[in-house]
Amino acid sequence: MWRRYGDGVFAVLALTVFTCEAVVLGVLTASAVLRATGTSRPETAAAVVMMTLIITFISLTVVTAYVLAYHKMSERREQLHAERMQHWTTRWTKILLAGESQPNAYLPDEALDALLSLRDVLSGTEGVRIATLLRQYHVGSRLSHRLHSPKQLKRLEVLEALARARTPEAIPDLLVQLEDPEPRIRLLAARALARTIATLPPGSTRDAVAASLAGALERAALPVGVVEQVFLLLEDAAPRTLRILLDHDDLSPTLRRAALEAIGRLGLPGFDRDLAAAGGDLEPNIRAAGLRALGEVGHLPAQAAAGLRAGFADAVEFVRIQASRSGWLLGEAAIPLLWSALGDRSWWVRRAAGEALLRLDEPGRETLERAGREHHDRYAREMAAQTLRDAPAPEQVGGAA
Amino acid sequence: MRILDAVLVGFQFFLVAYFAVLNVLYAFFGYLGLRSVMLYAREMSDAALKDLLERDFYKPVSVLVPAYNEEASIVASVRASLGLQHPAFEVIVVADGCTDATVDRLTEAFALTEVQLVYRRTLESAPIRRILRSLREPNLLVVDKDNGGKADALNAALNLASYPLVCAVDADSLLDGDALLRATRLFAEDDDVVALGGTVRPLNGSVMDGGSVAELRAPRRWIERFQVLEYTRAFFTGRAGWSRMGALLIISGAFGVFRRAAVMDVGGYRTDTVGEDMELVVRLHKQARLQGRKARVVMTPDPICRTEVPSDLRSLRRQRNRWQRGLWETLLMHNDMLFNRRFGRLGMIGVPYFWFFEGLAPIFEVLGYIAFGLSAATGALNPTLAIMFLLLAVLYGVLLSQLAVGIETLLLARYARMRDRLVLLAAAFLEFLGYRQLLSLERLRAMFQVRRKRGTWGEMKRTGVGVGSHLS
Amino acid sequence: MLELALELEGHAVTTSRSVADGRRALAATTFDVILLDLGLGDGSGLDLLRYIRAELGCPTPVLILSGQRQRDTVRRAQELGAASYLMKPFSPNDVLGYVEKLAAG
Repeated sequence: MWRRYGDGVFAVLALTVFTCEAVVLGVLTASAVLRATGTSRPETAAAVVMMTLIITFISLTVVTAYVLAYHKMSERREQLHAERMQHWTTRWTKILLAGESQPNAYLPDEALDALLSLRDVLSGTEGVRIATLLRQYHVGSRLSHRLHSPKQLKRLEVLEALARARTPEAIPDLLVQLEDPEPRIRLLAARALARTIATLPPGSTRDAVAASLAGALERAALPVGVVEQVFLLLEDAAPRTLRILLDHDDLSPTLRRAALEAIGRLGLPGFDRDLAAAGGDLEPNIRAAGLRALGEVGHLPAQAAAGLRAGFADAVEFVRIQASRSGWLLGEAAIPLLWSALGDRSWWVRRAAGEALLRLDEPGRETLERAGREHHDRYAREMAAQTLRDAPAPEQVGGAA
Repeated sequence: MRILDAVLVGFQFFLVAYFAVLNVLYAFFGYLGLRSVMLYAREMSDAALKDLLERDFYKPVSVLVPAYNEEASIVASVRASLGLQHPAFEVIVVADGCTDATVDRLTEAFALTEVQLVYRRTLESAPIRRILRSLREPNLLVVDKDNGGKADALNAALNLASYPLVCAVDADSLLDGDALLRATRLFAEDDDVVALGGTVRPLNGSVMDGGSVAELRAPRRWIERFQVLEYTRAFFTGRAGWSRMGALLIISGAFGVFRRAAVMDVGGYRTDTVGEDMELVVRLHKQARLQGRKARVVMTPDPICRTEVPSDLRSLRRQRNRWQRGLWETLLMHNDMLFNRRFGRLGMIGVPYFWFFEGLAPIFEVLGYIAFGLSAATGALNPTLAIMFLLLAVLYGVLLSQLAVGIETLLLARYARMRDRLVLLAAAFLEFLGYRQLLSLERLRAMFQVRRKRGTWGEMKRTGVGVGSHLS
Repeated sequence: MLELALELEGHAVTTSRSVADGRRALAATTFDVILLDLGLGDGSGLDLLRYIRAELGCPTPVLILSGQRQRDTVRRAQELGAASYLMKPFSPNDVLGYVEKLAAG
């Protein structure tokens, strides 16, 4: 959405203008006070106003000139950029598909940009070739070199390029960036690391790197949502990283929660113990995340059953919602629990219970019909009836409601 | 006479100080706004956004559309909303006691059928006549209710919303295809975010192509051009700056995204004020502070919402009158926040700023003009000085406009024609030839009407935005 | 990039970069195969698919190419009549293979 060049200069300009104007207007105000108290001559006041006028006029001219010049120049620059990108995309495509020879010298920026775009999009043999090309041209080290720039903005751009390039040689530098005091840098470094690690073949190297990532995440103090993103971006490397992370003692609640939510989103098997443990955690967010993940993974390990049952009676509403949502995992044993949940004081719990009953096919439907008639709670009766009305007909395969 | 002279001169010097401080603050916010845009632009690229979408990283959202007598444009508008790119969202249109064919047009266009819906009536609202679901669009819900005003309609919609986030828009807001995605990902990333606003830009003058903007062009009428500048300044050098300081108090009614739970917690929108959008945000801040929770109200500088702005003076004046009244109603309702340490930066900086520099500004502006005129006439102030000072005000105003326009130039979707940019430059000057003064007067008028006209809206003459129309 | 890949194989390619553009192109010519990316800037790719099948009544095989992996999206695409759904990242040779198979009928 935004252009990323020339804004630095504009910022310097804006800051200069602001400082100048602050000084000048300060002087003006002071002069006005002096004038009002009669301590200065009228000519001084006029002179001050004149000076302020002139400086403001100069500022205005400079800013306007910059804006107009920028407009014109960016048009041209982007036109050229588009042409060069087109040229390089065509050239890379021919190199990949038609066996043309690759350039043997230094890659200009557009060539790199085009190559990174293709990296995003291609897999298979061509994908592998691109990775090789990136290695041949030392793209990873070239980019990570720029990470030493003192300017935060520059580093953010480089981190983004590294996220696209996904070059393993950049991993050590990225891990360093994950310790940066600036939260935005850590955020982009984490994303870049996740995307890069996802391309590593399974093996001891990947495991070692995953361990480093897990350790760094613990120290990085990233928000829950960002850690989740990281797990999602790890793709195949996610299970291992999650495993390492969850095995740490003293794992922060934020990370544990993010891990559990990622397990659910990715539908990963093999975390039975952790999901079961979540049910008994002191933090309601973790209990809820664990229960939700159970439903999303779709399998109820024996040791988690007690936690799921307990969830129905939890004091916190959103935990009960997740318990109801995942309740269907208990099979027919869930029916009495869901029956009571239909009468919960929270509308959201009632709705989740209704939907969970639908997932239990015939027994569930029968229960809903019975609830619609016989449930002692009026709202439960209404919810049961509503759920049945909204439900897709049994024969329909995923049609619109 | 001496005393009058002294008072006039003294007042003018007070005005000089006021003007100086105000403009330095504007420039400061301008700089902050620019910084925030620069960081935001590098934090997440379009490609990264798409990446997250492909991995299911989003939050479902309910789009709430309050509508009153919008028969001309409602179908196009709803169709556009349904075409938004987001994996899980619903659109809830609330026909707020429409006396025209709004509901009929919707029924016909979307094959609506009445349903009995069980939902939780947490918030009070005017009685609902019918709830209608679309047979063709599974995620469209239309509520036909008795008239109760925009806030009331939104509350009714909130009751029916089933997703954790809600996006409150105007019936004529035109959202970008990926607006919801851009907005909701900030909620998904950070639990502390409770409300978000996006940049709103005037639609007038743009060439449309089937319901979306094909080419962004400056409008033909000067009154619309002035508004383009106002919106540019307000969002890029105003709200962006405030957002960065963590003291954003206004989220436009044309586009705002909220966590439903947080809004329900504070009791929804207040129906007795015309500034319900600002009032809600202030209340969200307040509630969070009082409960010792962190609650972030942020703005995304992405221009993801476009709206039609008034093209005639009468509608414009009514709108500005309403905004000023809304501002005052909100400030007065929450006057306990003023200089209250308990509310941190908001209480000590944000709210006082709004009181002194937004709320009281019209008084000072109008009195300033009068004072200058008087003193120049009575000779108490050197007329040359007065003229120079006025010139200074104009130049400074243009400077601020150009700072904002400079930020807009960074957008990929900017006014592309150099011609338009020069038009905006001219408009920055011409604004001072009566436009600003007129609106200051109107805002001043509004302040006297706060008590009398509590909670009353006006109507805007709509020219019918939508599919295949060329606004100019 | 795909445009080039297809042209190298000898196919005649028309590219549209938006839904509106696509509709115009479809109105102008008939095609043997349609490759549809779902992430078009100004509208939903699935909506365009519905338009092609329901409103134009056009039987041309449509190959969907998208980064979106949600089961729901894939299902909906199939319901709307897509011949096949390829995920990104893709291998150009695979795509070429599909295109030729679909074009052959």
